[in-house]
Amino acid sequence: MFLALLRRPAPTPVPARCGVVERLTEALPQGAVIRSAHSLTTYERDGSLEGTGDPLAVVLPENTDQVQTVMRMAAQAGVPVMPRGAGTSRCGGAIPLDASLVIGTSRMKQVLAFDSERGLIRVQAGIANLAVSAHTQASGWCYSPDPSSRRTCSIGGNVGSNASGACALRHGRTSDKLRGLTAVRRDGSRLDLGLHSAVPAQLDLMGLLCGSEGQLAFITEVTLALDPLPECSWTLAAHFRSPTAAVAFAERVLHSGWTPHRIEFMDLHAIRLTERVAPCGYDVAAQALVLLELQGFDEEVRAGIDLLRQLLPDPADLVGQARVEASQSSSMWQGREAIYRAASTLGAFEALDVNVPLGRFEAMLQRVGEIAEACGVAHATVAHMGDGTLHTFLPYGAMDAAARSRVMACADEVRLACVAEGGSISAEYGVGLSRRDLLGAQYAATDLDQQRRVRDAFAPGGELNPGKVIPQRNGEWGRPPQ
Amino acid sequence: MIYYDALTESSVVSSFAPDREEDAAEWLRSARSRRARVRLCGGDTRRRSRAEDPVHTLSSRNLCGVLRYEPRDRLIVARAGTPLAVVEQLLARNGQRLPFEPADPRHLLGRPGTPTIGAVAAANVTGPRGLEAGEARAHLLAARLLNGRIESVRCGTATLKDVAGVDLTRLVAGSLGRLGLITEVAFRVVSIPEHELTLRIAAPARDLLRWSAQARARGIRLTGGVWLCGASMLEAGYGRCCGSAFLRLEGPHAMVTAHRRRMLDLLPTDADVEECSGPTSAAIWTRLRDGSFLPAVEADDVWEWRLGAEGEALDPVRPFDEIGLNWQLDLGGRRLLCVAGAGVRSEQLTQLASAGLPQCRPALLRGSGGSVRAHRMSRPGTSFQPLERAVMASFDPDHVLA
Repeated sequence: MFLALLRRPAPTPVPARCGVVERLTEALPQGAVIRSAHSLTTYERDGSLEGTGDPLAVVLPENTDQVQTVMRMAAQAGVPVMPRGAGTSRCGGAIPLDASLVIGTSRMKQVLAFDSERGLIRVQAGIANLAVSAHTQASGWCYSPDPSSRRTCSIGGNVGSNASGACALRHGRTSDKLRGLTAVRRDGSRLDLGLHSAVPAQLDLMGLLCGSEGQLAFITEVTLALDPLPECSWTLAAHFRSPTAAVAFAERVLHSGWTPHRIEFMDLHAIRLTERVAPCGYDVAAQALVLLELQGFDEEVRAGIDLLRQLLPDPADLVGQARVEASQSSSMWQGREAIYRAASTLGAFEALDVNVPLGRFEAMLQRVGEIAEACGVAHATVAHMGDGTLHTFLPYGAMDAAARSRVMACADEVRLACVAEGGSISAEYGVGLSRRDLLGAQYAATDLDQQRRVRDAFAPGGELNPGKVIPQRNGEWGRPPQ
Repeated sequence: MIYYDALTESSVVSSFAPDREEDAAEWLRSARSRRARVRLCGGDTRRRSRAEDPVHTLSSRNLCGVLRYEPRDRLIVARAGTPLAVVEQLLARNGQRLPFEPADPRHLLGRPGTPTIGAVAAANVTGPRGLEAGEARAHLLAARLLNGRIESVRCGTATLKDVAGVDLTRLVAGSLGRLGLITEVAFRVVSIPEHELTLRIAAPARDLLRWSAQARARGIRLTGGVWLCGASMLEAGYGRCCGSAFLRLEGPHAMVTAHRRRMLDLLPTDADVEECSGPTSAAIWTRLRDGSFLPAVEADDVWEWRLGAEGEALDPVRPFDEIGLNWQLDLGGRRLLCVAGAGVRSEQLTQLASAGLPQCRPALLRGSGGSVRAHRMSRPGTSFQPLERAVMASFDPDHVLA
């Protein structure tokens, strides 16, 4: 799919563009504008392997006022703009197309306000996800959404992609934590929503901006709801002789009335891969592993874990004994949390983040294996069993074009199979560039037209993060709906 | 300042309630060609319009039926006109429910009609359980909408987690018919908990706000927090008091027991606490959810103030504490309801509201004498009003929808 980049026409040279970088350099503090070819290489790519873009320049503002200045000047010069967080996108969402001006948030990392009584924090968009919890945990609060890149990914990027991870089951996604938002529109105007505004909007514009992948406005500040740190946390780990038994156990758990903090699935390939890289006692003879964690008050969690243990199947369906441990001293999550690191030991890989309705989860697991094997591609799957999200890792080793092409075709086939089951091509990473041309398989043309019109109401002409998310209708790089 | 955008029965020129989306589209196309103004409605439990001109009404109430429900999926897809009661009964038979406890507005509005699942989405109807679960919009997974361009548009995907594309469900939820006729909805569902427990504590309203915030900070999962005034308590047979806070805990027995103990630790040692559980508790919360402890009669005005998310000033209710009206505060449903007799002038109430709840939008849900009108406080100009208009126009460029 990275060939799509090459098929895009070169941006039309516009005389006004020539001076905009100079004007920005004059208007902003020293060092805020990066234009040397060497320094720009960092901003040409992101966490995906979708190729490189062509940034006009990079601007690193420090606050909303400076972002307004940049957006205004870019709009006047007709220069498209690409918001960039920490550049951890796994779908090419932060690759600059059309010689966009990249606006980065790496100088916007301040905590602006922290209300320790009400559990609310107002931060600039560039602060790292994990830094929010680091700032608040001494007061007994944490920020729950936990994308796998949480050590480095920025809150602005999280809001832009409505990021979430395993903990979404109990604590919700980024959109559930958002209480206020400040953004700058294409024309440089400021948008204050939620708690940042004295007057509520009639439409849920804040919810709309969450997950809009930088196409509607540049998010500069957000207010987030925090969760109290739990008094205690216990983990149950069980190895199964079949995925069927593992899925049936998870369903009993979800129906029990106890909502785990997270409940995760690993197939045999993921068990073996992680046990090789980050050994933590997984049984490599098992066909599936379920890890779950309960959090809450001490007596509540102990009672809950006891009850959930009773939901385990007959010992004949298990490999060994289920392990129950206090999470603090348990090593059982180390393997699950090392899955990206483990996959990277195989070289380059494509990571899926597809979703299917829970009732189709087991069938989809099987289908993923069938598709990968038919394509001759190795695979390993971990999954969030509470919401039906599958992360399948498809390695292709060295940057070999033929192997990569085979893996990408396999990945697309899995995504389309999920859509056929009523699911989604993306549950967590977003659409960005790499899944853009598949969106037409999930939505009809009229649905995408409406999405495009809403985008244009915010940023006419699609000049914010251009070329992403919504495929061109009848465009030169569009792919017809399947 | 109040503006009256009253809609009387006589201003309705014609109404249509198709049982097929295609027929709705045809009717809407005809209305658009005649430049007629169309008001959308569901089960006819409320009246609302911003138009003073005669309008034609298009109702989704005959678009009925559950389209997809498999308990394992933990979601339900239904046509918009499906009665809410039908959806709730189906879910209950399988040990499930909607997470956000939508209220039945008929008592407060003094209307017949049938609450529908589509109207729950259109009005973002959320009840006390919203305190823990969030608003209805957080659980709306997908919707199908017939927009003002007469296009059938699907927003979102009926699966539990999806970030593909621009999330139009966030616009549709709470849009009150401004964007199009909702014809189908998909909502997340959850298991019905094993046990529920209600704590009733005689206390002023500000104590409810304090306890709720403290409970959240300590990890106590309250699934309802409502304060009911003394006058309403007395009429409901609870005896004389300054008013009571109702707190609810739900979950497996062991969980409720642990959270109850922590909650009682938070309360003053001399607090007057009564507890109930099971059907008694459930019956209380149905009445709190619907505002039916408030003795609204034909001659009364019923006012509603929509509250924002948690984090707004936690002392907004003091002015209401000092007035002798029937009122209740629902933290999960994010609304303050007030019933004012004919003697109370609306200007007094709006002044009171402006002082106490500056960030909230008060609305007269029901006017005195039983007439049904929608009065809304005018809002100060905001930077996002032109943007909202542009977004609405992207769905309805010819302003067909009233």
